[in-house]
Amino acid sequence: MFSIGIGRRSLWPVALLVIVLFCSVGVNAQDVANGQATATVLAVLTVVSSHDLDFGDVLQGVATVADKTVDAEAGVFEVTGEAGKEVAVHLQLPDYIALADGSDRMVISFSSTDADVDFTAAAAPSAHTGGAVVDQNPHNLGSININNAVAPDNNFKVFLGGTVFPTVDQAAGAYSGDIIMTAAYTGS
Amino acid sequence: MFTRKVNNRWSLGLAALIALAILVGGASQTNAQDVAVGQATATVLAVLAVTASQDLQFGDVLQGVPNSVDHNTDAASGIFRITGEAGNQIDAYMQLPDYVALADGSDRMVISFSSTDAEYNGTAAAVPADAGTETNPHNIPSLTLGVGGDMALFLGGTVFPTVDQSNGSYAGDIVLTVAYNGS
Repeated sequence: MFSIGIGRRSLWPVALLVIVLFCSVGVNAQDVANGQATATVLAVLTVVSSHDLDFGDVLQGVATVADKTVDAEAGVFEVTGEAGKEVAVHLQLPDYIALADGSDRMVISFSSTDADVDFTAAAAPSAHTGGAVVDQNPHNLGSININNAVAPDNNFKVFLGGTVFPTVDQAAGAYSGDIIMTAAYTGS
Repeated sequence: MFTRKVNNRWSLGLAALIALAILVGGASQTNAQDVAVGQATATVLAVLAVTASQDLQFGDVLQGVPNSVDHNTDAASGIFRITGEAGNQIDAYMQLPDYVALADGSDRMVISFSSTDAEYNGTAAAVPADAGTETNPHNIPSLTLGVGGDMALFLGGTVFPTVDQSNGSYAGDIVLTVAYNGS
């Protein structure tokens, strides 16, 4: 009886050691590492039409110009986004402006130098900053880099002029037409 | 059982990460483009209109006797009235005939206009007898519409019937063209 009791009690430490050893070996056979997928979303790209292209009062038969360097006349679009990033810009320009009821329309035209591009929040049609690029083709503005500066100067502005050609029998009234600017990051 | 629980947790975590990536990626594409709509606007002012409100009337004429009408004669001078945007300048051109003719064209009579045979007046409802500014009907200067957008042109002239001029009613067109010049 003594021998049997002693035999069972001596097995327990061994069994325990075996169990511990097996458990330890099971933990070391697997490991975990945490990596990450990262992405940085650039500042939201926004484009705003801040001033209409305004020809004011025009006379029948007299071609009238809206000057891109005159604050009250120039159309103004402002693009704001991630500083220094490139933006592809497209202007959809009308061929006519029309009365609200569509009963008459008037030819409108944009020359290859009817746009200026300027940078910073303070830029205005009549007051360009040092980095302004003048006499651009509004039909083909291409890609423009947002000013590499902190807000509110992380932008560029497009100042637009044009010419309307009322006929000698142009109907009197208020004419209007849409000018649409689309801007998108290029990734550069 | 331990292994299945671990596998299920990993699967859920991976699915969540994928879903988050899709959401973030979708948001980036939305913010990478924007559109703005502006307008071009213009207001066409009052329509420019011209009417011939009275013919140049020589009345009854005698063979071989020249007959003149003064531009200051209310009942006889030719009258053109122009309306448009007040204060704006217009150019005016008068196409004057060399002859007046019978309706059937069988005879014609010389008509002539001197360098002082026209007068203009920017006062509303002006008449030929009112004091205006004399001018050459062959070369009318640019005119500035009056405060009411009005301008009147009065025209005189002279016909020269021959001694064997056919009797009958003679007529000829006088055409006035006006246009804003932008000034």
